[in-house]
Amino acid sequence: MRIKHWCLALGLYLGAMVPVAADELTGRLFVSNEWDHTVSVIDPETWEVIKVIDEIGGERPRDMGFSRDGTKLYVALGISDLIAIIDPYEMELIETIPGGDDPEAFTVHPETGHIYVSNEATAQLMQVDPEAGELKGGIDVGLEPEGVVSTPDGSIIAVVSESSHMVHLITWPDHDVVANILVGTRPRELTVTADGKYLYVTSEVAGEINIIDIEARDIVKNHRFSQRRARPKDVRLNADESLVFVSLGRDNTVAVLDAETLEEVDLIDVGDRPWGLAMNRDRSLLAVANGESDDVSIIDTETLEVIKDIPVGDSPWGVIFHDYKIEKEMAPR
Amino acid sequence: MNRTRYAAPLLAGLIGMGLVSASVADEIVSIAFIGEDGSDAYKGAEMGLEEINRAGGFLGYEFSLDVVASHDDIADDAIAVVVTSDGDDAGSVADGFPALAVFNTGSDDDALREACRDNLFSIMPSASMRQDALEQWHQQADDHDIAAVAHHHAFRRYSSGDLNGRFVEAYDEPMTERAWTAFVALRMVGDGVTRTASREADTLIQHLKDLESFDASKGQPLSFRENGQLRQPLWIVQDDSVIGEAPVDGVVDPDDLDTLGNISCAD
Repeated sequence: MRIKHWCLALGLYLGAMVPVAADELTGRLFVSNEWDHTVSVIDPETWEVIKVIDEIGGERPRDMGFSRDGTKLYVALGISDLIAIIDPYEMELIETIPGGDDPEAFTVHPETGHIYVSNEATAQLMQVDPEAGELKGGIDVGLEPEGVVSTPDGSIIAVVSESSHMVHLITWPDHDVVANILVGTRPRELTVTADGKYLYVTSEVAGEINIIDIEARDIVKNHRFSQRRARPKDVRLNADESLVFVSLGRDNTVAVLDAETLEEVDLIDVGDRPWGLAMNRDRSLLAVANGESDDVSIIDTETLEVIKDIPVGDSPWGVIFHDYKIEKEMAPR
Repeated sequence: MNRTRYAAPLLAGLIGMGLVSASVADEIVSIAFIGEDGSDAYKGAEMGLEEINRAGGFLGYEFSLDVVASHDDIADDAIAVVVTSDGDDAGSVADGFPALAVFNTGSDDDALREACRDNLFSIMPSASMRQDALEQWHQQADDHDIAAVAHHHAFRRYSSGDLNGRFVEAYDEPMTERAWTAFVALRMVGDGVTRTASREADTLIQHLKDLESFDASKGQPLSFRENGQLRQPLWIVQDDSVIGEAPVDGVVDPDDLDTLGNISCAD
């Protein structure tokens, strides 16, 4: 027993000491824990938590994202109206910058590296320049904005408003709101295809997922989940965009759908109330934040099996792998 | 009559940009409110009005809230009436204005539901719903001084925290159950008009009857019973904090909202 502990301690020590060149990515999985205000860091080889970052500069960490060069982790801190900038190598807080009023979900723009973050309390999409550490200005959207995504070429930013039940399409760089598309009740998150043509949008209370044609500005496909407890939250596509993965919240599952027909292919049991999802670089693995069982499930996207459950902090909200840089023409992971 | 408009500047801007045609924006959707100006219910309705004008503004709709002393003053162009009284006024208003959608936001009288009026929609939980919620909870634990309510200002799950925060921001006081029921009535009118793209009262009434997944920050898709009562979970409150939810998990199926209250019509 003692030897085992000693080996584990040594392993942790060595793991922490292996130097990582600044231009390399660590592959680590970062997890925001909404209600103990920490970020857990998981080693992708051992799937052990190698650090819990206690000092994150504020409260209620939710969405996370990396700077375009991958050297900085951004974490939205809703209660504190801040965005934390964390060094993913040292796993330490660098600084905090303003995030607007109640920042929740965001995207990092592929052209400018600016953060577009939903400000839930004031119904705005706020543009933040993380280098300057300043707010550039808000764009009025519907009530309780949440999921935000940019098309891979950066020309359109899409944001949902949970309480106005809309997807807003905003042009970049002009910031014109050019479309307001009504979707199912309480839309939460969305993702975009690599060609920038289609959005996949979840609606939590309606229990639906919609495909939106960005150019036509209309819903082209709808699927209502048959599971009574399904509360669709986050959504991701696999590498060849043949499958879409949807966390179903209260149903304690991740649904796998045919990305074209939205027919159900599989239903994977995970922890309790899965919300945040993230793919690794080659999209062979999907991480799932289980908010009520306080753990993260790792799914093999080929076999559709859970290969690991990892205990983390209180109410994990989001997950992200530190293994890719944001490049133009790249779809969100 | 006190007509409150919020979206006018936004809408004017949209018209100016050519995004909304003036003819569409001209027709304001009027909602009558029978109750006290400045009451909790009024504040809830006013916040609901602001929110439906914000959402409606994106799609070219504008709504007004018209406070009237009695049903005699309901404007001809109204499509819905919010009745805040705790008596049976909502029933007589529904009978007197069969073409309008009438919301009961104040009375928990089961008889109002059992009459099964075609155009009456009760947001306030019925007395039998509260009673069933408390009976389910009694099997659990210490039950001194507990109540079952539709809304509580200290609740934060299912985005209720955001909703409560908006109310405190606007009025610097907690959102009461009566404020919440009136708020929901306004949100239902706004949602119905924008989703059906119709300003007609009969379309609104049908939309409300067909509702499958109304979102009222309660974590469940809400709909109306045949008797016009909103199916909804209730919160168990003790010492001014929420200690549980009904239907009570472990006692009944927590997703079966029809375990609360009388669900049918009187024959």
